[in-house]
Amino acid sequence: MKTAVALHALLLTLFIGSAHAQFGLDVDPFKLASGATKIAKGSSGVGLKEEMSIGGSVAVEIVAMEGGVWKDEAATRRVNLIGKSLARYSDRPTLQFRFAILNTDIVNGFSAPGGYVFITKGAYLAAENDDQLAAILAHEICHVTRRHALRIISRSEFISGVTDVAAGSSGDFAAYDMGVDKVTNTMLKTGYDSGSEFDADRMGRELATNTGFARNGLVTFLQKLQTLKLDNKSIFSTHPDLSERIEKLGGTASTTAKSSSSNEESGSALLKKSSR
Amino acid sequence: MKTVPYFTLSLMLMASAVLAYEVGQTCFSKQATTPLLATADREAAKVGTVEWGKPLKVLAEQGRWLHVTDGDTKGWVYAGNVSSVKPPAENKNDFLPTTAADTTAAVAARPLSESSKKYASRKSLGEAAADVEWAEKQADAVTRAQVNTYMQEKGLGDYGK
Repeated sequence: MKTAVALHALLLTLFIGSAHAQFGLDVDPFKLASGATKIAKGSSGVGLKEEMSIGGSVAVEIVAMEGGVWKDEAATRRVNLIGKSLARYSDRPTLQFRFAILNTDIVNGFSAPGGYVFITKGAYLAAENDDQLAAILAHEICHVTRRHALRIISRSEFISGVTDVAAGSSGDFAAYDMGVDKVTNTMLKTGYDSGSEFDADRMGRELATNTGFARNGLVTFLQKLQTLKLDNKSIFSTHPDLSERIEKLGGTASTTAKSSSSNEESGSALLKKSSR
Repeated sequence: MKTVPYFTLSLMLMASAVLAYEVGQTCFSKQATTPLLATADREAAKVGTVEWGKPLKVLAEQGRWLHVTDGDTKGWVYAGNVSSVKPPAENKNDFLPTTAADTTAAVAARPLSESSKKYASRKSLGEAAADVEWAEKQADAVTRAQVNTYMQEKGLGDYGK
């Protein structure tokens, strides 16, 4: 069967090539070959080299918009030890993941294609142990392995412009820049759709558990955040509501919803803690 | 005497609560090659290897280890090396070199790409790009051997039971 398919493909290629040469048909066999490569790139339509280029640019935007990188070597080493342990058992175990801390007091996590994972200083300091840190990092790793950001680009009109520039075969920077902007805007302003977030929660929990971290790390961390009573903009603002996430993971959410900024005492305690 | 089966049963329930694999379920290798081991121990003798994406039937669970068969060979795999869902075909590209200079996608430490540097330049984000490069260096300084030591100390991955 495979032989028959290969033979048909060969004959088709020969026919098209011949037709192109002899009859001037507007069918370029090399474009067809290019199309075949695109299929090999998978459903996102983005190859690894292009993914890493896009990811690097998105990472630069995240860092620029979220206060720069917190240059604490010990803390950065700790998140890389935990993160790389998780990455080893992720669905993309050979992808070169890098973990860093953003110098902002808000509590959040971000990731970019190609393996860039960021946790904020606020989240790093709020986490009580490695299990909770692992839970946050595993969630972000799963956004990368599930290609949630890449699919935003692949569904957009900028896809060919982005991948061509990323591959070094085009100088159409406008399309590339718009594609990067689209992903960055989703990550930092609107957030992924809730389906992608709950998917990352569920898969992240599996990843953390399979790596040997506590299964309830994310639930206990989210429950702790509920007690901090920070304003909505300071806690996972680009993620679904804490209570909904906890309940979907089978935990018990606090009956007190995320409060407004009126409760400054608890919030300022965390900010003070994170300003060390 | 009666406590033994209850103890065994509770161990089995605990294990299934952790990994949620069922006997007879199919799982898929997600490493380039996954070793099949004689016992549920990373130091155990290798009885075979399975390639990426290979379906494996779960025969039993023990902690974070699964006893599986690929149809021909039976052996133990660490649960983190397999997935309960078939991995997408595009993940296989991660195992391929992206340039002639690379041997695999993961071997070389990759700096920020030229297109990303140019992007940062166009957007006047040079400081952020420098921060990303600092972060990359810090991350790359954490070697595989250091991660192994950390995992061993914490009983993570296949260092644990």
